[in-house]
Amino acid sequence: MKRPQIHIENYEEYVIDFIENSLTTELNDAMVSFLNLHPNIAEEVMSFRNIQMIPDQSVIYPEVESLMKKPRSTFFFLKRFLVAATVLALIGVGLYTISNTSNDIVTDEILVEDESTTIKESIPQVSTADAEPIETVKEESIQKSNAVTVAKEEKVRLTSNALQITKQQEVKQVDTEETPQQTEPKVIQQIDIENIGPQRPKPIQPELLAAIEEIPTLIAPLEEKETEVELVFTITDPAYNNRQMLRQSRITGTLAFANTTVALLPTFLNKNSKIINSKK
Amino acid sequence: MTVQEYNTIVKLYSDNVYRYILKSTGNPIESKDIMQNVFLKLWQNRNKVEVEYAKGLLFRMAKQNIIDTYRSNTSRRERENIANQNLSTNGNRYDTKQLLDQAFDQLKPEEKTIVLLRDYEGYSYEEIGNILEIPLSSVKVNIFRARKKLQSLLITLENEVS
Repeated sequence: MKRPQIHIENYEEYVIDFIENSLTTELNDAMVSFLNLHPNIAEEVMSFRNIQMIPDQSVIYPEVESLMKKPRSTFFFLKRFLVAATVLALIGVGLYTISNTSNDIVTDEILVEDESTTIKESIPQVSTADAEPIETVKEESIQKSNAVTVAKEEKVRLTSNALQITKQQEVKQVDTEETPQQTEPKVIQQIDIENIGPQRPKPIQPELLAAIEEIPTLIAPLEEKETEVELVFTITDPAYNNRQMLRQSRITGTLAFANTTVALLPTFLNKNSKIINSKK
Repeated sequence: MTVQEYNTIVKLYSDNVYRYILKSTGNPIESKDIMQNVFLKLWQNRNKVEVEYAKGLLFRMAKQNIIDTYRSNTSRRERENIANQNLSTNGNRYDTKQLLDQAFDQLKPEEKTIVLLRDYEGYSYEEIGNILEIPLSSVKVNIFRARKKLQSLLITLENEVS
C-alpha cells in the first residue's frame, strides 16, 4: 500500500487537521515526517494558535419584522375572485347586448363598428328619388376549385324608403380567359328609413343631438347644389331610443340634394361631417 | 418554499446572518442594507430554494454582497487606518478580545467569511466548501492561511500596545 505523501506543495491542506488531531494515523505519521524535514515549518505549526472568533450573542438583527412576509389573507383571494367575477359578468352582459342588437337588425354581421375600421366610401350622387351606389374599398375573395369568387365591393344604396348596404360578387375562372361573371348585388343589410326618419322619437344620444342641431347650418347652403362633402353617418337604433349606435361610416363624394334628402340627412349626419367643396 | 417557511427561516437565521455580516463589514448601516438585499433575494427565489439549503444560501449571498460592498467602498482603507491609529494611541485600554477584533478587521472579506463560517456557525469544512463552492482542500488551506494571518496581525497589535 502506497504511503501518503505530504510535501511542501500540499502540507497546508493537512495542518488544520493535524492541529485538530483529526488526521488518520498514516497521515499523522506522514505529517510528522514532513515537519522533521522542515524545522522552520515545524516551528510555524507548533507556534500556530488556533485562534477562534467567538460570536457575540447579544448582537441581534433589530429589524426582523421588516424581513417577514405576511401570508395572503382570505380577503386577498376573495378580492381577486370578486374582480374576476365582475370582469366575467361585464363580458357576459356585453356579449348579451351585442347578441340582442344583432338579432334585431341584421343577421350576418356585427354592426357596431369603430371609426378606425370605417371603410372609405364615395357617393357620386344621392337622392331619395334616384339612388346611386356608393363605392367602397372592401374586397375579399373565396376560392373554390378553379373558380374564384370575388366579393367585389360593398355599396351603400339610399332608396326612397330604405338604406341598403349591398355586396356585389363576380366569379372568375382561374384556368380560363373567360370574362368574370358578375352576380346580382346581394343586400346584406337594410335599414328602413321610416324607422330612422324624422318621425322617429327624438334621439337622446348627446352626440347625435349635437349633430342634429348643427345639421341645418351644414345642410342649408347645400340645397340645390352639387357639393363635395365628407359625411359621417351615425346610424342609431330606434328600438333602443337611439342610444345604441349601430354603424358609423364615413363617406366622401358629391351630393345632389333634393329637399327630401335634406329632410333625411339630419338622421344620418353627425357633427364630424364637413363640407369639402361646394359648387352650384 | 411557502410564506410560513420563509418567515421561519427569517426567525431562525436572521441574527446569525446579521452577526456574520456585521462582523465582516464592521458597519451597522451597510450590514442592514446587505441583510435587506439578501433576504429579498431569498424571497424572490423562494420557489427555487429548498428549505434545507436556505441557510447556506443566505451566507453565500451575504458573502457576495459583502465582497461587492468592500470593493465599492473606497474609503474603507481610510477607516481602517483611523482605527489603527486609535488603537495605537489608546493601546493600554484594549484587552485581547478587542485586539483580536482589530486584527480580524484587517482580514480580507474572503478570509473573514471562511473564519466566521467555521467559528460563528460551526460549519464543517465540507459544508463551508459547499457554501463557498470551493473544494474541501481549498477550504482547509484558506482557513489555515486566514488563521495564520490573524495570528500574525494579533502579535503585531499586541506588540504595539505593549
